[in-house]
Amino acid sequence: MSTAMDVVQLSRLQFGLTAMYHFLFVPLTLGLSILLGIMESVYVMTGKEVWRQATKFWGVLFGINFAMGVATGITMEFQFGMNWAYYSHYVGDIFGAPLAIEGLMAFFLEATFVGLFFFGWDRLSKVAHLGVTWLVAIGSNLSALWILVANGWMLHPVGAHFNPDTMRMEVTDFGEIIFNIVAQEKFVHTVSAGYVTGAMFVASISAIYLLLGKHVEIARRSITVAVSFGIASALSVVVLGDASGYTATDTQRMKIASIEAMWETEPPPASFTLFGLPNQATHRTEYALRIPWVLGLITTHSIDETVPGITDLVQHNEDHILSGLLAYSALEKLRANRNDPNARAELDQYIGELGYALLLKQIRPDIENATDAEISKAAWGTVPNVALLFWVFRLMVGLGFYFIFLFGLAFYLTSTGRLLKARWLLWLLAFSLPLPWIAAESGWIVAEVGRQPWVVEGVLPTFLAVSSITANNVLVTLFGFIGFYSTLLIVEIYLMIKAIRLGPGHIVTQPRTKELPAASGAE
Amino acid sequence: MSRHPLIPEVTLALAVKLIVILAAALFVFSPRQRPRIDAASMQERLIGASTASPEPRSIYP
Repeated sequence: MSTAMDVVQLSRLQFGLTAMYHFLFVPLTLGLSILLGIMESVYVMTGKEVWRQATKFWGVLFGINFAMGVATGITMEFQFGMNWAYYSHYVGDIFGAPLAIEGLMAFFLEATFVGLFFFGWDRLSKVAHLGVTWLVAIGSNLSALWILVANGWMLHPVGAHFNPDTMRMEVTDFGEIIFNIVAQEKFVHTVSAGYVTGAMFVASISAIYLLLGKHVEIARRSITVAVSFGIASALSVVVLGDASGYTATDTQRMKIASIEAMWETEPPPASFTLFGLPNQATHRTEYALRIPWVLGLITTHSIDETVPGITDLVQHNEDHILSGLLAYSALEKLRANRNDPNARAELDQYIGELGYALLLKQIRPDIENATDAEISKAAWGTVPNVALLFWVFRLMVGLGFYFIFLFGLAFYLTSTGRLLKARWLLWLLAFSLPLPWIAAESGWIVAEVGRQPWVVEGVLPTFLAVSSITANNVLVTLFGFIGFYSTLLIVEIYLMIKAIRLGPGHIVTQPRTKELPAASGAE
Repeated sequence: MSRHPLIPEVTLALAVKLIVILAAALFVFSPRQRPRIDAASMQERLIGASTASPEPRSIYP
């Protein structure tokens, strides 16, 4: 394996697997925390014990997910230092700040209030406990915000400049980094996906209880909240995903062209390829089934704007590489003589293109002498894996529309009082449980594979960001992570199933709390 | 919650997980084992030791 995969591929695989594993927990935490807030709000407003029991039951599942998920993301920070040392030096000034804020502010806020949520039921007033529950939800969402600010900067690096004296990127405007349009859109899209996950989780488990005739009082209330929240979230995630795509048409044009397997620029408005087999070698999409106008309308919201195709973008990137070589030359001169004003001026002029010249380093070390063929090869290297993006994106979008259909139908039947009789829909909800996770992980694959070959778009190629370590070093920790995280996942699923089997009836209330007649009767 | 039957199992799983992660942080990913990167090594990575001037080339198509 170490001969077949180099350090770059292994490090990417390790980081990707760790991130995907971590993101099994995150969306459920985001969604379930809001649902806990909604259910407890109903309890505080109505005073009905059944809502308190429902909040406590879903709180147990939230707690298991939180306990098993907490600190699983920290291993990615270990990898920044070990496997991605050049990346950490080059952009650590920018990337480190939001991560540190996430750790200090949101994590502590979240963790503190999670403790109060579980141990404060009989120590806090109703309203105070409700405040705690909402602070758990806000803390969880704030965590996501800071992580996505960091990730958004990698996709659209703003508010920073390259300092040739320290050989790293430095912050020039932190506000610009926080309010980066890509980060903000990614944040709302991602948390909405988390809300869909939370809604599906509650709806699916409630559907199973209803099918089995168990815990009916809590299950029918929970499923009502879940499908109502679910339809709003599913609509949000699609609308906000569309907004992300609109922005990416300007900020990540190669990603959009690759997702659509659009090899050539079409006259506006561009057609949308519903089905096809993209071929990266021939730069064609075989058996393409195209729908006129749709891509142009989706990505530009107009009928007269052009969506550039991959071939044109590659040509454009060849120009970037040529400009980048001037920046590279100026940087060389400046590192030899830091007081060379001409070199500094030239570097300032072309610094935005330096990353493109660095792409040539994968082809030859003395990039100043690169041939036209090598420059063309490097430019074609800016095209990510088109077939993977094409299909994974369609899987994600297809699931997004399925969630709208499913929650929409369930919401309609709930509103008309027919959901409990529609057993086929309860079965459909039950079997749909894993789908939000598949959609969310697909979204991350689209976002991160679509950024390749960059670790920071247009600034630093991925292959230059990895540490000078051996493939065996990475292999050892990779196998360690796979074994450790697989075990954790099995334990998580075991605990979740056990808690679901125990059901709300096994939540033992404190002595001064009255038991729930309605739920007890139903059980 | 404090008397939920799953508390011992969740606590055990959480404790084992944190111990493993802490051990990884101390013995596998500690600052001692991390590569040290500074401006000089970053220069070496990005522009190498080469000081050759690039051949003149138009940046415009």
